[in-house]
Amino acid sequence: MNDSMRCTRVALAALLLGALGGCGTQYQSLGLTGGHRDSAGPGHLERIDFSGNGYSEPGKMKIFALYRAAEVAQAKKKPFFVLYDSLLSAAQNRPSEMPRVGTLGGKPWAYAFVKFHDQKVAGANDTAEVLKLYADAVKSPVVSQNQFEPSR
Amino acid sequence: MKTLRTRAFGLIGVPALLLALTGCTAFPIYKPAANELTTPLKVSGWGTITFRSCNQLDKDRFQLDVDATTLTGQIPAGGCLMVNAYRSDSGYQVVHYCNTRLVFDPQPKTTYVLNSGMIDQGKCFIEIVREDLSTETGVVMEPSVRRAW
Repeated sequence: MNDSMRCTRVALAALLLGALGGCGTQYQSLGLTGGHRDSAGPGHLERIDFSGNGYSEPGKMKIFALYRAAEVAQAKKKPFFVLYDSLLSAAQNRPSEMPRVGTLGGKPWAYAFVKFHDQKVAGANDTAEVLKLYADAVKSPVVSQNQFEPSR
Repeated sequence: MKTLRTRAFGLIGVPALLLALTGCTAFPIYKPAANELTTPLKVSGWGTITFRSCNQLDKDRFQLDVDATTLTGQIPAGGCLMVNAYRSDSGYQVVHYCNTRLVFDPQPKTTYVLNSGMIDQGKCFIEIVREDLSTETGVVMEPSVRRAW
């Protein structure tokens, strides 16, 4: 391989890396640039996390975490689910409207504890409704939370 | 020889200096004595969890030994405990870190759950509840939790 070919390849690789690095985290399972992760517990709850990179909007990470909760509910054939944005909320059975999000070093991280239900209970989200409402949001790279906030 | 030493400082000295500047110190992993009263602490969320007895100094903290499968570690029971969650994130030649703590009185034969994370920008929190599978969510408030000094 001659020097000019090597230079071209290095430049292309740098360009590709730059392009990838310039985007906020897309809806995906956990990878190098972030994504969703589910874990069982504590108690009767499951935990859903969605972490973003330095280009991700915190509001969007909340939507991604909410959508992931609905996906998990669907996989478990549960038509309803309740979100708790902290263990204290869960301990007092005080449902939350959205996951909690915070940032460290400009990288947002949204999470919620989730309880799945067969019947509608107070504060429950409708699984099918959430999946429908945010279907476009998880595909689009430019949407923000305000555009897709449900009317309650 | 001089070059080697300089390189070694670059490889070891700079990260060590950075760690010292960020207040990140390695604490010994907690290994309870055979007759010591302990109770389980489940960890949810992120960060390095350290703790100390309320009447010990900060430098005498231990790091929670968390089982990778169950995400549970053992803590001393029967006395006041100060629990600390720490996390750092480095990038663009800057180290961001967050440190938060609380105090509670763990009792034996009780399972506690700790969660820590971020709220808004750069603010972090820590919370501890008690696991009680007889309730709707499986967790209940722990009345002994209070603000750390």
